[in-house]
Amino acid sequence: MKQKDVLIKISDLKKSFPGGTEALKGVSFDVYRGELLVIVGASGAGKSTLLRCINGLSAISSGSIVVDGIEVNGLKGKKLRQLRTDVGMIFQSFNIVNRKRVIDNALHGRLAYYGLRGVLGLYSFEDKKKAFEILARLDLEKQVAKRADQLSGGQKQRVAIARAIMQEPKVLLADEPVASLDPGASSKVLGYLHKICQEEDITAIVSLHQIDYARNYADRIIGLTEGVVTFEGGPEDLDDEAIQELYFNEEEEE
Amino acid sequence: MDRNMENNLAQLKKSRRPGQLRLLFAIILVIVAVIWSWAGTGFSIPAIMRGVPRIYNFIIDDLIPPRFDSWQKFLNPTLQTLYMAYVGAIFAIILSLGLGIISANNLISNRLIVYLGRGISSFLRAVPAVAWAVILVAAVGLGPFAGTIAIALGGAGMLGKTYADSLEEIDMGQVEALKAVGASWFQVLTQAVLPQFLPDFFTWSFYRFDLNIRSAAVVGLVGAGGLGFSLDTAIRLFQFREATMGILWIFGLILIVEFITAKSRDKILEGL
Amino acid sequence: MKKVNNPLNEKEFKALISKRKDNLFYLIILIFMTFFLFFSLSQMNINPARVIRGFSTLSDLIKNMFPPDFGQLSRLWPLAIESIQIAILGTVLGIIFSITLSMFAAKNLTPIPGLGVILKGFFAFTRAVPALVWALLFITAVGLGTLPGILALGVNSIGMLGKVFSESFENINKATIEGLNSTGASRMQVFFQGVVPETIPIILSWSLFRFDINIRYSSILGVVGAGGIGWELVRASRMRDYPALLMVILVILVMVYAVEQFTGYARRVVR
Repeated sequence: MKQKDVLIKISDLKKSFPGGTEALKGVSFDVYRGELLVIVGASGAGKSTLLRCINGLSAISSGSIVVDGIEVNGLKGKKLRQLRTDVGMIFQSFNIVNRKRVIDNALHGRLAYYGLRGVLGLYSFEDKKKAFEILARLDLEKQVAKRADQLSGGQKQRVAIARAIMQEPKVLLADEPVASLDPGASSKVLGYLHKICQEEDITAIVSLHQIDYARNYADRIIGLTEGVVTFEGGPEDLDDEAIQELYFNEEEEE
Repeated sequence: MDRNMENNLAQLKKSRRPGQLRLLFAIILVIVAVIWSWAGTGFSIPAIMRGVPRIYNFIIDDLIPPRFDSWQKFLNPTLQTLYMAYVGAIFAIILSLGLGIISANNLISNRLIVYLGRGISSFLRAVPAVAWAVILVAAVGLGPFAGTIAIALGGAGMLGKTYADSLEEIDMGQVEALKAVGASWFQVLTQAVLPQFLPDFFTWSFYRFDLNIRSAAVVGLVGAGGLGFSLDTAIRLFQFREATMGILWIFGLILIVEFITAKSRDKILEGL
Repeated sequence: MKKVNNPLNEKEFKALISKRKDNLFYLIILIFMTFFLFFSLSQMNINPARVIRGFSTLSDLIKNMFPPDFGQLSRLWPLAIESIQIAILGTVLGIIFSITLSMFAAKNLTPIPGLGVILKGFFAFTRAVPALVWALLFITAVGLGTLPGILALGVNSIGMLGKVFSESFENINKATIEGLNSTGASRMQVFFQGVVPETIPIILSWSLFRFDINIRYSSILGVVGAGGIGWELVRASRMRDYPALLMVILVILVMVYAVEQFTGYARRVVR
């Protein structure tokens, strides 16, 4: 591990939904600057909810999340948007605007800096060039002027990565980024994600349910079972016994 | 008949029963409704029998052939009908964009505002354009001004609902992603909501313009300008051949406008 | 940090990401639409002063409408019922005639090929001429009352239903007709045993939809004297009895809403 500088501190985080289901039951851990942290766990373990709490897409029930010195809980309006510019997010279903071109989608990452010009979709030439450069680094330079709905799934997710990188975020949250992709595209997308985070020195939190991908790319791994942290350690510590424990509960449920 | 066959037949009967019962019930309902209406309106076969030759004579003796030389009389009213429909459509679209957005429950978190928006749309929609025209003629006087506003209000009711329904069907993932980059509400609206909404927006708006032409052609019957007014005048003066000419103008206007809107809609949709 | 060199020069890059051509297309349309808007407004003599004056008289009128004259209800109620009855008979008439005519209009069913084209022209004409104009004509021919209203709705419905029914007949599976033909079925047998069962969901849902439309029309047919509640609109406004006018509108609202609920329910059952 590079540095032991804490970027995100999560303490006793609890989240329950209106129906009464408790998704997170007191989660605490730290995220260090510059690392790639993978969160593993069965589906329904609370991985998505955890990530969505970090950038305030879901309001937490109790506890605290501090991102680079700022408490997320209770942030509203402009301050919440400001926090979100520091936190990029990548979704399982890509969530890029299908009817816009690839370059426009990448430029969406800059919206928070634009105000009314952003409403009209008018960006500076510098930002357009930067968007092109990042898309080229993700090997999408031939696709920049295409409409996003003409791309394959893997390409769409790379556009989503470009959009997140355009934000110049301190931390990148990736929620099951390859769950909708075939194995070939999956390892390619994770490779790009890993490479560009290293190059840009961006801290990343990636949730995955495939253990082998986690082992390949993680600096550190956290295991989540039914809303509780049940594993914390390096990829080498995630042995068969630990995996058994992580997924044991799920099998019992079924 | 062997036992197996009997079973099969029984099963066949059973499978048809619930649907048949419902069908029977519906048929009885329709028959009762028709008899009730028949009695209520004093509708009678002899009246129809007497009516048919009269209608036939009216068409042959009075309506046909149209007085083609009166075509100029209808030129201005036709243009006025077009103007009313167009301006009414633009006003309706502007009004409904606001109405549609506040009525979409995925864009507005305040339930009360959504109910208010939906309520306004359904009120505007339920009152027919001609009824609006009657009120507006009373308020602002005869002429196309009253007709234009009547058409705009009626159209806003329909578009407000259809816009809201389309907006509620957009993919919220794209909206959420832009919220996650820190975009403001208006930025999310133009950059994530609008691109998804545009095809439906154009389809419904053009369709509304088609409907407006029909409304604009009849609001004149209550004094709100356009072809309906000239048609009413012609009939009141027993100038039936001129009236036929007016009807041909309405027919022609609707066909031409439908053709043009279909072409331009396709052109715009393919460019989006 | 690894640097990727921009593989294109500035000019090529600008050309690549430029949307100028698309934007120009939309700009021209927008300018034309704006121009036509102001042109139309000026042709109709609508100007800001008139709009402001109009809204102040309108708000006065709306103030004068309250409270609605509930005393009128006992008189309006039977007229609303009459409107519903006109809509029912007009719709039924329209359905019967449009199904019958569609048999001869559908390309795959018609005994005389040329007849289909003529009937489709007839549908287009009866559809395009608005119901209120039909009512006006029928009044001239058969006199005031509910009969011209029923006929107007019927004829206008034939235009719309005839079009969709004949198109849905044309879209049915060819094999169905051939299969029945091969059994030696007559034309009528083929129609009622083959075509109707296949298209019954379409026929029902469009008939219900048309009933919705006809209710709206029947509520205003009276403005030209074709029966129902519509005449009360004109009467109240001519007598400047605005509370009564509001009451008429409320009754129309309730009527339209109630029928819409009913057809909505029926549509769910049909499905």
